[in-house]
Amino acid sequence: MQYAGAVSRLIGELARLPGIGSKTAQRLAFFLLSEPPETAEKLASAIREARERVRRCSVCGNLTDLDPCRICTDEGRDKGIICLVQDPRDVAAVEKYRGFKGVYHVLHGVLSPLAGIGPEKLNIKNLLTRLEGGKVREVIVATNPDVEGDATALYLARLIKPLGVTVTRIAHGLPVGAHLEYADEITLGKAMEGRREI
Amino acid sequence: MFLNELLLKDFRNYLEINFSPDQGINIITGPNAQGKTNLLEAIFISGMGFSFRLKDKDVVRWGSEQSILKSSYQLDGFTVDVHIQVKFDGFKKILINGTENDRKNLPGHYGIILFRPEDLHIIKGPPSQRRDFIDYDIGSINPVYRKLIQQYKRIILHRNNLLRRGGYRQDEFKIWNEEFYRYGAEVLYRRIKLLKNYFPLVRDIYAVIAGKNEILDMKYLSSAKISGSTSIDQIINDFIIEGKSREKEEIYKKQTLFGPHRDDITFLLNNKDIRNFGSQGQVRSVVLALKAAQMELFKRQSGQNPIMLLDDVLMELDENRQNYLIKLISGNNQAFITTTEIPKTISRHVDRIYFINRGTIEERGHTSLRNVPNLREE
Repeated sequence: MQYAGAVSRLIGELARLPGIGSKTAQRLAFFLLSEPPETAEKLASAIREARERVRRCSVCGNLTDLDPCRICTDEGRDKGIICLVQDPRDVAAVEKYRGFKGVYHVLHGVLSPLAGIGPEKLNIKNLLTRLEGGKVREVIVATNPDVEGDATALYLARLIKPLGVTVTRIAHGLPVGAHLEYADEITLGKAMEGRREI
Repeated sequence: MFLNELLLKDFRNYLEINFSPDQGINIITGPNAQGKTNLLEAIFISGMGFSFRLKDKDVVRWGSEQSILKSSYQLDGFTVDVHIQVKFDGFKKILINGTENDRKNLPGHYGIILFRPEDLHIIKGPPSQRRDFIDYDIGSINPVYRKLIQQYKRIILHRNNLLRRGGYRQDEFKIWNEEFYRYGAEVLYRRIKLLKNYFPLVRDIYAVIAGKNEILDMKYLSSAKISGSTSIDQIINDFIIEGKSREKEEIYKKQTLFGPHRDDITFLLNNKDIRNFGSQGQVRSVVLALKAAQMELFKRQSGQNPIMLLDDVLMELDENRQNYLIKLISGNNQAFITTTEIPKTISRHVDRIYFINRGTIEERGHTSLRNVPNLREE
């Protein structure tokens, strides 16, 4: 269906967002247009403000409105352990666990020749600069356990180990609270491989 | 494993049908283009979660929003209820015993074996057909192997992409090489192990079908020089050597030139390649042996009797081979056989006959067998 120029432009911009199809974009657009003007203005200014103020932390690459970010400047955190993740969402995920007291480094992607992503497109240079100081003891590679995440982990391990830093990979296996009978064979196999003495 | 009940709504040419088959041999008959194969397809989807035809979304009856397939399987004495919804845009929802689930957990993976005329391509088609048959049909019983194949293919895609674009960093290429060797070696190792169980079964069954004068042999043709397959590490070493010697050629041709995705299998009959020297009848017999051996392998590995779906293959076999196949199945397997005619050789093994006409299904008892020749006049 055709709408007035401004409306169809709004729908078009909304539909570019991840997870939003044309139907949902239409719904959102008409919601914004039917509510009082303040609703749309609040949203617009929130987007503008976030976009203007939020940038990548010059140390870890995480999204932040302060540079360096709050995690990198937190005195209570152990700067000797870096958890390496593929994007800022993963920082939030690990933070939820609260048990990790080290700092992060965000790669902003993983190696994927199919998507045209090579090492030069990842936030690796900054990582090497951080490791040069010699204060980092361990790097925990927490990329996803898929083909690309594993290749990236291997690549980084090759790069970092010669610097005398311990490189570890997060364990793969059963989610907490999961029942064995519902686990698939692959996860169960990984869990068996990574078993520990008690 | 048995299918106890199947309910279809807006599936292909079926408006709504309810089908409660026998646990033995079910014959599905009727004139051409009335929906016999559609019914087999419905059974296949309800057990495996995807169609053996081109696109899943094509199953939605013309003009309908969605197809619904409800089925009830009996597995090890337990009942498994499957509910599958296919939307007209191809979106699928799978419920197993009332909760949303993944297609890999459907009961069909314990063994639904499809046998249809196109299976001749396993012998006569390009190497990819033989690899797919081994990896997806024979290998489907092992979820770890399935996943491994999927990961390996993705690695090859990445590596080919690097080679095609060129200009990559050496340290990056090295990582994809290592992943390629590691996963490729594991695929090859597991594939050969699988075939070591499978090939002897095929050979023995072929001897029963064709007699002692014809000796069937199968050979695995590796695209790399392999010194042996006793361990994954050994294969990795062979791949490293092969990779070094073919590096220049790979860069020149811009693709991965060896590995399990380029291997093949040859079928030899009395030491002659059946593709060049075999008769049509011999090729059919080999395919029959492949399927019968698949059935036996599934039975040994899962402890379940697989469900057999035979689509229009009966009439292509001679009496001896029809007899062999029916005897093999009629032990403990549930089978669904589509055919326009019921050969005399098998009629006494038949447990139930269904007559399909314009998207309706009607059960005809054993006694109606004599009506069957009339079919052709309709």
